[in-house]
Amino acid sequence: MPMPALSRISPRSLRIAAAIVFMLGPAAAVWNLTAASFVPKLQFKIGRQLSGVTEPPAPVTFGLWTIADGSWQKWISAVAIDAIPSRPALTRFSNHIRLKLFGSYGAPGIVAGERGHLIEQGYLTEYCGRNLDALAAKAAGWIPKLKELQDFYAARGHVFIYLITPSKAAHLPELFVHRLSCPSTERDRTEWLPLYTRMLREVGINVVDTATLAHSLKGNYQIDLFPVGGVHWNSIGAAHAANALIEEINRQGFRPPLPKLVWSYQLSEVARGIDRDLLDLINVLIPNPRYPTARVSYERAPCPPADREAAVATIGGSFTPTVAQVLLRNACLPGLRNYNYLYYGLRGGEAFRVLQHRLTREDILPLREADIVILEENESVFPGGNHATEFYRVILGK
Amino acid sequence: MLFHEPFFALLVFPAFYALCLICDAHTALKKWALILGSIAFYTWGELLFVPVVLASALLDYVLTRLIAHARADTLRRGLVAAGIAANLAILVFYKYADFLLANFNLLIGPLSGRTLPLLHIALPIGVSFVVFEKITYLVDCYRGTTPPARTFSDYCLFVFLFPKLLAGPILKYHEMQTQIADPAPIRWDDFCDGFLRFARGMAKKVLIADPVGAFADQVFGADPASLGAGAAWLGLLCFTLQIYFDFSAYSDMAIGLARMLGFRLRENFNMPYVSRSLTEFWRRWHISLATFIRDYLYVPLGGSRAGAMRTYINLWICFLLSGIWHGANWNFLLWGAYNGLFLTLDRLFLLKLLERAGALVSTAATLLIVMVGWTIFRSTTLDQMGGMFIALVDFSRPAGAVELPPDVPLTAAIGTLLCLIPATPLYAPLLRSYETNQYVRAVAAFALIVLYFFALGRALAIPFKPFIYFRF
Repeated sequence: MPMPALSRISPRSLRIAAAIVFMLGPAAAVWNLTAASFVPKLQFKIGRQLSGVTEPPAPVTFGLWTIADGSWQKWISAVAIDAIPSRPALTRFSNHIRLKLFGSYGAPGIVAGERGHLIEQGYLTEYCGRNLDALAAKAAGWIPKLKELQDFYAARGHVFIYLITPSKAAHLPELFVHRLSCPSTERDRTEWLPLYTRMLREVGINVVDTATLAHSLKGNYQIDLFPVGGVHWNSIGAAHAANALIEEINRQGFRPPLPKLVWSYQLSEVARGIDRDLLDLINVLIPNPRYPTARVSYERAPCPPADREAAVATIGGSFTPTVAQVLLRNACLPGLRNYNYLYYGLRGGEAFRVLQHRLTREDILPLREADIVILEENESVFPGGNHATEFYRVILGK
Repeated sequence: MLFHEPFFALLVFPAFYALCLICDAHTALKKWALILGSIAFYTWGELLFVPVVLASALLDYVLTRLIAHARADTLRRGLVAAGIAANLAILVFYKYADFLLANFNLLIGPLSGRTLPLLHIALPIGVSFVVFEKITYLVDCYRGTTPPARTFSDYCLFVFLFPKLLAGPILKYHEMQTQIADPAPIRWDDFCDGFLRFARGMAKKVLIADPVGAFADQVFGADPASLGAGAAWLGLLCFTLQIYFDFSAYSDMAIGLARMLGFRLRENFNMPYVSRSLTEFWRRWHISLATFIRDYLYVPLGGSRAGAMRTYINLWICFLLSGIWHGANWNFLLWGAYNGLFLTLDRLFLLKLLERAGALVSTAATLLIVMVGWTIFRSTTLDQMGGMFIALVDFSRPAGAVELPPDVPLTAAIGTLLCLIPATPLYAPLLRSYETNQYVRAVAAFALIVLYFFALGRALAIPFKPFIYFRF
């Protein structure tokens, strides 16, 4: 059927057609708001979903005073913006142009170093602010608490390990440090880890220092242990860390002893998952994940017979899930649960899925009876970072 | 709700525009859609102030009807004076009460040992613009330039018309009367021109004014003693760009939105930084305020009709009031006096001197005068202002600790270029080719649309600050 000539369409019909076009965006946003409450998958979005987490705006009750002071309108506006269908595409478009024009990133605190390596500013600030005297003073306050925790578990015949993980800034300082003013001295930076681990060992803390381990492996592989577009260690780093933990668990007399992991790796030219966490976080239109990464495969040894499934808890920050997943799947520890920053989320099961968001003190208390407790701190936050101190308070009822 | 916010640009305005399109064939319906939409828009931001404006508008409306019917000039004068006083009372109460009380306490407190409590009244957004426009209505009706509004709803549409409500341009009632009484239907070319104008404003605000403004805030927020001359000058340049691109962007967006709805608003800026004297600058900067002051203050004061000395006094009065109109603080009053001084100097000798100096020198000198003025304008205290002036001239200081964001140098360079290119010989041929060549116009329109989406994306991206994980 031939299309009617534009001139034959009445002005009224044209106006109504235009009105419908103008209503599409707002209607889609209303649909997204409605769908989000029931079936999030039905939301209509243009472009790839944005990466990263943000704190959702706190709901504001509708009322005369909340409208008068503008807080209700701010909340509505924030919620509505999130529902705009074109938000992912437009945000990525803007971030992409901004990156190309000005070299600045859409996510807060992301910094580029040599060879395109990305890092979060927080790691650099910590690395460049290292001070041995301040560390010694702070560690002197924290280590006795850590010892109390260890003694608590030892008294129950359980395994307690204090795990130290590496930071990208400390592992690859040559890529970043010359680009900013770095007040710490070379000695402050290089003696930081040895001083702390020495202090820990002097009082008998069961420490597994995977930071020193990772730094000692630098240059042993064809690729860095930290990927170009990621801020966490890659799967090779996690594999070494997992074996170091198994060794310590067995040294503490855990029965039956865990099998040592046997693994190999293959290089891949395209980064995936945690190997591109920062690359994804900058939310550009076309990220470039083409840099070498490693994929580790494990030979699964048969598990020794055990009376019951051991209750294992890893409590730590963003470096812990990768190593926890390796232990759970390959080291005969199916009962392992990972507590992300203690309260932010619980992961476990073969699929290592999120089992619970937002934990409470009551959810943590059962960890008093865990067979193996691994408390992680990154070298950029120790001694006595927030989650570790809070764990000490909860477990010992302080 | 600001025009550059995605909530307005992508959700509220399209929905409202759809409603206006549907009502467009029926003038009365369209007018009511505009009135109610505009009042809803203002209620969203200033719930408690809307009833005050409505009541005040009703008073204006009644007064102008009385003026129209009154025969005795004394009565007419009394009515218009009452209307102006009522409007100024709103402005004084909301904008200047605490400033007046604080200064009263400063003067009287040490003598009496008592101070009056401050009222801490939140300043309703756009109050200065609303009050000035309402005064134009009263005066226009008194002068007989225009008859009173036919209906109260017509007058409400003039007062609340949302594109110009928050930041102008300051409209004069007699210029808008016909458009308000009988709004023109929405046309395709109005939509296109209006949208491109809105897009221009959006790009100016989000892509230039905001990034350079953030750096200007950093510099003016720092201890002036810690600033090197380089940082101080860059901060001042950034503020110079911010205030122009921010304010003119808002005017662009207002003019564009109104145009899309079928209204034509007066221009508010005309490349002010190419001015060759401060007198010319004030013909190009915030034109609607300058003409309001000229028509409703300077001329009634006698203008230049009563000798040189009286003219200078009138100029000073106008600029002092213009200064304090911008904000309730001494620095704004000082800024007004500074402008009054240079306008007086222009009339005495400066204008001729600058004319003789040639285009380059006069433009540079005027820009310098304006920038020094912006230092007064932007400083929050007299101490800070003094410190900032020292930082600007003390080239022996070290660079200081203000961190320069990566997007500021290029943004400031583009902003400066856009401001000053009309002063160069390049501008005339560029403008000619734009006006005569449809391909150039098409390319410019395409570029504006791309910039619009970039700006929208930026406005969406700014509040989105993602982290990989939640942290403790």
